Amino acid sequence: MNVVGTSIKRIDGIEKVTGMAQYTTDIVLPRMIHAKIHRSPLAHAKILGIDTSKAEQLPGVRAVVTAADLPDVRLGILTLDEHLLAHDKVRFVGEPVAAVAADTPEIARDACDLIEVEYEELPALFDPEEAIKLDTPVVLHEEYDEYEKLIEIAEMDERPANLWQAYRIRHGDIDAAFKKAEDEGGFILENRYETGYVHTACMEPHGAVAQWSSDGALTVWAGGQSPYIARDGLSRALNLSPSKVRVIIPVVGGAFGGKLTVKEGAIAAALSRKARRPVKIVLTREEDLSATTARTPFIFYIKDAVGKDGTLLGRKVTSIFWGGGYSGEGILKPIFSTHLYPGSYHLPALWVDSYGVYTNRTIGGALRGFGCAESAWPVETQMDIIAEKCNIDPVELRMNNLLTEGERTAIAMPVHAFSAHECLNKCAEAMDWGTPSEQPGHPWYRGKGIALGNKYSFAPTASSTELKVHEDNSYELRTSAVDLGQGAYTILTQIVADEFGVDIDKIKIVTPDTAITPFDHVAGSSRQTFNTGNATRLSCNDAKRQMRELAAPKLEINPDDLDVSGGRIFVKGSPDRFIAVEDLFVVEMLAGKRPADAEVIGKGTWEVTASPHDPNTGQAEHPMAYMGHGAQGAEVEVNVETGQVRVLQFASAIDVGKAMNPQGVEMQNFGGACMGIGIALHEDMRFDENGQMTNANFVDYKIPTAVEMPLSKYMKSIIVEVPHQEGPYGAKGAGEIVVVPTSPALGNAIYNAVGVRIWAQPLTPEKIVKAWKEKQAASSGS
Amino acid sequence: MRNFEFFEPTTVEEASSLLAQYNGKARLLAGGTDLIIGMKARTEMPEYVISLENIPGLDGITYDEGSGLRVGAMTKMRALETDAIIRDRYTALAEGAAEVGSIQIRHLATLGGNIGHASPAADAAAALLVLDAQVQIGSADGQRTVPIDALFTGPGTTVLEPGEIITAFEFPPRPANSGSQYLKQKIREVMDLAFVGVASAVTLNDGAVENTRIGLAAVAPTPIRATEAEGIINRYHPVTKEILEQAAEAASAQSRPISDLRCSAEYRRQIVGVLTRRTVQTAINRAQS
Ligand SMILES: Cc1cc2nc3c(=O)[nH]c(=O)nc-3n(C[C@H](O)[C@H](O)[C@H](O)COP(=O)(O)OP(=O)(O)OC[C@H]3O[C@@H](n4cnc5c(N)ncnc54)[C@H](O)[C@@H]3O)c2cc1C
Repeated sequence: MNVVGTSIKRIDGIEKVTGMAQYTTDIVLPRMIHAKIHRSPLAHAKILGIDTSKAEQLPGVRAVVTAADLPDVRLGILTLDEHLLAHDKVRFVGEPVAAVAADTPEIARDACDLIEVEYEELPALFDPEEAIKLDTPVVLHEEYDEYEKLIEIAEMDERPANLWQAYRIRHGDIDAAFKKAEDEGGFILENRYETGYVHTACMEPHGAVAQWSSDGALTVWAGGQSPYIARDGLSRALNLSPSKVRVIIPVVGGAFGGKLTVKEGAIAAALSRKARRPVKIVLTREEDLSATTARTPFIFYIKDAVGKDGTLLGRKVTSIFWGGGYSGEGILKPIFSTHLYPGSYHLPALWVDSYGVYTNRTIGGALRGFGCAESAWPVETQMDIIAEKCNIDPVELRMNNLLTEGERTAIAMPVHAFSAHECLNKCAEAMDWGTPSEQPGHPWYRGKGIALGNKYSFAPTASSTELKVHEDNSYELRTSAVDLGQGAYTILTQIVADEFGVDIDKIKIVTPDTAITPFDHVAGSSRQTFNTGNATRLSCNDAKRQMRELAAPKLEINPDDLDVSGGRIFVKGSPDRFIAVEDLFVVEMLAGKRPADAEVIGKGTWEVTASPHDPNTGQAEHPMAYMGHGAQGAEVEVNVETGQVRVLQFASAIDVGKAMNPQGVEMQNFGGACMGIGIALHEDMRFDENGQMTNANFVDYKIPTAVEMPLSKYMKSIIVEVPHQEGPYGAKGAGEIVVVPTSPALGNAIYNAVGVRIWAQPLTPEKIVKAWKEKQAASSGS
Repeated sequence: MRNFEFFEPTTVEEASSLLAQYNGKARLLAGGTDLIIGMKARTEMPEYVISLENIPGLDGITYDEGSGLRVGAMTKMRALETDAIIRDRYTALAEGAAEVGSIQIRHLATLGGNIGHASPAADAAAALLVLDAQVQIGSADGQRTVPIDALFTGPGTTVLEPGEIITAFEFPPRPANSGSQYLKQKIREVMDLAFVGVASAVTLNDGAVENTRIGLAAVAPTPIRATEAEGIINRYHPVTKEILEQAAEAASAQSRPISDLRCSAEYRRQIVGVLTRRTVQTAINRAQS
């Protein structure tokens, strides 16, 4: 029975479309009350005092909390710099300062308005290029040196006061590369690029429900990406031992990196403890967009040394990651974004300085493609410009510079399961690359663009699962992997069905609950199929071993001579000698043996170790679990009078090693295209001069609709399968690579259509029309 | 949303009396697609909400060759965009209505609400300006008529007095040799607000273009007419590419856009020109066919 590799329907599809699925907001507990957060109206200020008395007196209010009600601990991912509720300073507009629980959300909101905070406003710092200066007049974290840090940054003579991350790559002789380019008829290509300020904008906003039991244990339900990361955060924020915290992840309506921590859950828990009632909190769309983590921009200065024939000789990059008031998950971005500078290319010299800084904006966090979706923008735009300068086809230019299997990249990692050639070829073919676009006539112009991309999956990491075999021949997988909509539970179901040779309706997934399901790192970094998939195979094998041992005496044969499949434990080579799974248990129990003998729970742990990233050289033999590859191409139509862009055709060719569920991969390709088109063309968080977001709603923060997508017959999903030696069935992940090449593919297509480059995302009509006019003026002037 | 008291009057007079009685604290509720959003966001916090739903006669489209078109204030956008006469003779209005939000929104959103809300970007406003709409206003004291040009006084404000309610819009008959168009420029194809909206309407007399009307939305504190541009089109015959270009420039110069988070004033002005040129040309083509 080969269920793996077939397009079975999503196992959660019916419950979602019928509205049966239970999201966090659907949870209602007896005596439950509702919370709202009082947020900072200022971008940077000292808190002189907080008066909650009026709020407390409002009828219906059950509890008010401020930092004074919480342990004085700082939280964070690797640099612990953030209090759950602002302590003595606020560092961005929207930072939680206090919270109220009341009988209704409306009362809680009214009470929040009654909380009086006395501030001493401080000058705010918004510009990351100001923030990184040594002589910056504004310092966000005066006590930075005292913070607990779990990561080392690159050595520097003097650390700029707002800098929290510095990472370098030093490979080859970069100066020699530039010299060679100049001496041998090549050229140097230097540009500045910026990515946009965008948000995950999940359908389900952040929310949580918290409840305490009489023994002082806490249960939190929250739509999160990792029950164990959430549990750690909760236990630290509330000073509880981890065993006292139980996290349950209900159905999640999208996360994309925005739900790694569950701060709202901790705030609800603090209120719940004080009010002695269960507390629910659900952020409004405005709060969700303006006060949770965003994909804050990167600024890239990139300088390529190129040989006459288009060969890359060397690359020098300085990048600044525009962090917010706290380092958050963004702390890893300046590191992980560098994986794409070599990307799929052979680079004799690579020099990178990658920084992250504090500014008085919302916290920079994860969003599908963590760093790579950003660094693909400069890299793949440069490749397009280089192709034009050398008068070589962009596909061919990329082909000429690709790595080969087994070769070490500029970060010293040997490449394995390298598939960039195939992705590029298949994508180009689907785009009918050799044929130029048909031109509809002024003012519309058409063009095609293509780009490559990579997405690493991070390491070290681990996943454990448990597989319980029931006496009715059904199989229960206990996992802390989270299905955020990406289809994880469906894939895991397929794996179990395959391993046991049974129908998928025999499989049940026990979803994340730290009281029941074993450790899994996180639903992030395209890691679940690869890691949880492997752990699931291991726990299936472990369960099978136990089943063979139980069956062996009855069949009077050595366990090694038995096999398990289709609900039977049978003798290898003589499938007629078997015991049905049902009989395995019944017999044991009636025999009065210990129940332990009658229970089969397989356990499996999959671990990926890694060689540490050296922050001073960036050289690491094995810094990741695997590297994914993909190519995307777009054909666009641009109106030069209005700047409007229509995406006519889109092709996405990604290497997943093994398509566990081809339809699932197709959905990733389409969903990624949709998200990537929004990010490249429209989405843009805007802020006023005080740091207040001005478009925190879905009218003005423009995620694309179905109408912005090409017609389905022009959306091409191409699956490439180059198996990875460690992947389950050879599989790699698909969740993020699908948004990595998207922006440069679109930017290159726009260039091909109208001959203008926009360096800073999003590529809005206004910018395009302005660039077009400048180009016309320049060409008529010359 | 804050608590409020809810009324469902059955006559205009009754509604008007309530509105006057709670002046400043009461809001009329039509489809609610502006009001309820505002109440949830607390930009609107009425203590009294007066529904127009149960007042007979406020909804509906009637047409008469002699007296023209009458559209009740409670008529839904969806009804306007699908009405055969409106699509044929008052095309800009059908197109303006069809641009509002999504189909779900258009089944709730009313013409009275779109105009009563008085957003400078209201999608029906430019069409009303170029189709010479007369706004029928009712109150406990009787009825009065205000031409659409004189209705808006600023963003979100109109000449309506306390207790006054828009009951209907009346449009003069449009001959077969007339044509109109509304075009909306937006970032997203659907579910987006206009950053520029332009409607144009013309009538042909022996091949000469007459009665040109050009209405601009989202480029001034209220929807406005581009009178200079209208004059240029009426003055010259035939309307050549150059004339269209001149009119486009005049419309652009008459617009008074601001820079905001959607785009810059400069870009808006440029788009006014582009859309003026296109809508006048289409209106002429439609009048000819
Ligand atoms: C998702 C979404 C998308 C939208 N997209 C668009 C768009 O693309 N283009 C656009 O123009 N609008 C858009 N809107 C706004 C809104 O749908 C329209 O303005 C709609 O026509 C308002 O009509 P309504 O009946 O819902 O008004 P309501 O919300 O009921 O009322 C709006 C205002 O007008 C007043 N009012 C209502 N009726 C009368 C009357 N008879 N006399 C006097 N005052 C009255 C009310 O008191 C209130 O102040 C959108 C709204 C939403 C929620």
